[in-house]
Amino acid sequence: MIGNPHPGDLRRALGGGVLTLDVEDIRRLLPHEPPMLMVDKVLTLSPGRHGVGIKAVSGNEYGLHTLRHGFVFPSTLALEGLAQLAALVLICPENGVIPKDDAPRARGSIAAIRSLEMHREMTEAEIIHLDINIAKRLDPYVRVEGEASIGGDRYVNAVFDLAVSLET
Amino acid sequence: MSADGEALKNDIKAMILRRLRIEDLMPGDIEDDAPLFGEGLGLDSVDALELVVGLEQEFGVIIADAEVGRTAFASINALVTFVEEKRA
Repeated sequence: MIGNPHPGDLRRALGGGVLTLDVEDIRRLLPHEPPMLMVDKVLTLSPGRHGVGIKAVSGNEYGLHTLRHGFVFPSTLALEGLAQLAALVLICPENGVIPKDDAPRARGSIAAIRSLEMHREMTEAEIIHLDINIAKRLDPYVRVEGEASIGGDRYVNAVFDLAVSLET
Repeated sequence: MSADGEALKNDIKAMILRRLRIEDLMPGDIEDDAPLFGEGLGLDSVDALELVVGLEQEFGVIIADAEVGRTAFASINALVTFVEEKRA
């Protein structure tokens, strides 16, 4: 793996407190590793409020080929992507700087799914667009409203509650 | 309690049952002074967030943090008092 080119500082590219994160930034903030890392890049992130990211699905993912139907990307993994993006939004520091490479990372779980709509199937290489809003906080839980889309078409809509804490 | 207070109490009980999808109870089955969490109705901390969202969306009342929530959610009567005070 190529070393992190931005030790200590997350990328800040858009001004106004809006951040972008590359995959190395994301791996410093989340404990997930491929193939369970469901956010490849964060395009815009307003700490504590909103995030937009992408997940590129190659069609070669291990374990997602079936004898009868060929490649199938489970919609529930898009929900996982929305949850991981929400965790990034919740733990990303306002100033875009984390203390050091071994800083605490987010540990979280989906505590409740309030609504879940799956609009289509995904059976080939495509890019998932992830978009989440933090709707409400009541420690330790957070209400998240999220939409995953593909090429502008709705893929998964979800409202769920996330419990997020930092690893100790 | 006034007629408006009784109506508010029933509306809050109905909101709780609907939001938490409790199908085996009617509003009248919820005791006014019993704890909502733990004993009593037996709700848990995940339910609290759903009730906070429900109060905001259906009654226009905001619970800012968990400490306020602990007071407001002590019982149905406490919740009715909280909503009435916020609306006053």
